[in-house]
Amino acid sequence: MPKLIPAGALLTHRPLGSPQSAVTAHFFPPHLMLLDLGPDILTVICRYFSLPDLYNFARVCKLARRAAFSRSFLELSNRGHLAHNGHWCELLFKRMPFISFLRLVGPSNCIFLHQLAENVEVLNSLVDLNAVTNSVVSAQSPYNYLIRDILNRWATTLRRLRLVGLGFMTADTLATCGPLTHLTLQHSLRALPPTLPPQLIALDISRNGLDLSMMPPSPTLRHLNVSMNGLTDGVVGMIPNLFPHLQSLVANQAIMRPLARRASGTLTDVGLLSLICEDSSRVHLRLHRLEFCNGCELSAGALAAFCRHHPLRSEDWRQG
Amino acid sequence: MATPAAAAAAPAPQLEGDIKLVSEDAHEFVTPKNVAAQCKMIKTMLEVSEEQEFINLPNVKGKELEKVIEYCRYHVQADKPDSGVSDNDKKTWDENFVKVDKETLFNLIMAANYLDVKSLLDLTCATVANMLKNKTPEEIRREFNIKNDLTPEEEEEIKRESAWLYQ
Repeated sequence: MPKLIPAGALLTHRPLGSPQSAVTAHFFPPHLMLLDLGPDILTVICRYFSLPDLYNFARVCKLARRAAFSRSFLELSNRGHLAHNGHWCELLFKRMPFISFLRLVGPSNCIFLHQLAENVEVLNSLVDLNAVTNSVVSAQSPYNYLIRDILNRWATTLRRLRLVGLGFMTADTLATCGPLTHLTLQHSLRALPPTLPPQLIALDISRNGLDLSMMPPSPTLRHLNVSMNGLTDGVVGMIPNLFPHLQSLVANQAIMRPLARRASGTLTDVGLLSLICEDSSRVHLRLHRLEFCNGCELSAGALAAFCRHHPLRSEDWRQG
Repeated sequence: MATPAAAAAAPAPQLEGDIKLVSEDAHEFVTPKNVAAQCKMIKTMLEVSEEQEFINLPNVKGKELEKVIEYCRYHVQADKPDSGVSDNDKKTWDENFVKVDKETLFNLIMAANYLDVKSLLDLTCATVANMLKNKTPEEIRREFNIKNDLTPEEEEEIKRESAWLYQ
């Protein structure tokens, strides 16, 4: 086996002008400039721009304009104030008609989504929508009602859209609004059963005491993030019925105890099941049904590490 | 959102031993295979033939290849769940890592793109984006030595369409 030598410690120099260097020089100029990165990489760079930055960059030169307006992926993050402008949708999609993947992050972007839902023509170019992520739902917020309204629209007019993700997150509002927030969120989610988009693939519900039993069955749901505290034993048992094709479950330590207790039962039907612990330092679990990974006390962190490298299959659960 | 990719990923084959990576300008780096495999392009090559002793990388110069290896080596260790390295530490390390001159940064972007190291590509592209943010088109042109080849009409059109942003 070759001796391990740190990078940089073993340098051998080939004379300048070697054939190899000459060939490469054809591909990359010796001193790269910004535009030498090419349109594809410039497009990646544009992902990190706000819209004003994007338009500024578009005015630099033809290549910059091409990169700025050709991206097929658009993420709007915490720029919701722009959404209040009535021209938002029309102008954005007029300039970027090839956007096929839209990700909305931030509460005020719900308003943008609201406008989006009203403009079905705009959505013709969209294939994937990863939306309403991190929508702050609080007692004082109108956004939860907007979400419900939008979902109603989706149910009737946007069924063809492949809805990649839908998220709710109470974040810090929970601390200040407490039970009110909880109630408001529950109130919103109660509207979901008739309106849950049929092609929803992922659902993210974080940091609240939500009872999963309120969720409607979703035959298409593949990924579920339930990093929350209110998942009871009984609800855990409902997972296979609610989400028969669930492939991954991201959960924090609060969900671990009931899951561990029920690992031999209904969860064998869940299929590929991955448990990722968000707070691994405080919780140590005795996982009776995971003897195949050393059969002893396993810290949540160790389990998370194990799961990352060895995704669990239903057969694994049956081994226990 | 949920992170389905982490859950759905297949178990990675264990890569043992070292591999010699040879840059375009003939610098050689003996690197643990599991570090080199952070580059998807190299990983694919290793999977095709585990017996090979070296890999030629004709599109990456030694200076940048060394940086890429440094990045991969750090993250192989730091990303382990039991590494004890916090996200903040990693962020700080990343920020320091990209404190390089512009030419090196651009070359690193090309290297990350060619070697297919997505996290490094994102990091370097975000760094360049930060250099461009809050600058006028003229400032960007001056700083990056770019010639304006837009016609006045084209420039005016973009200005007009973005006017609503500043209302």
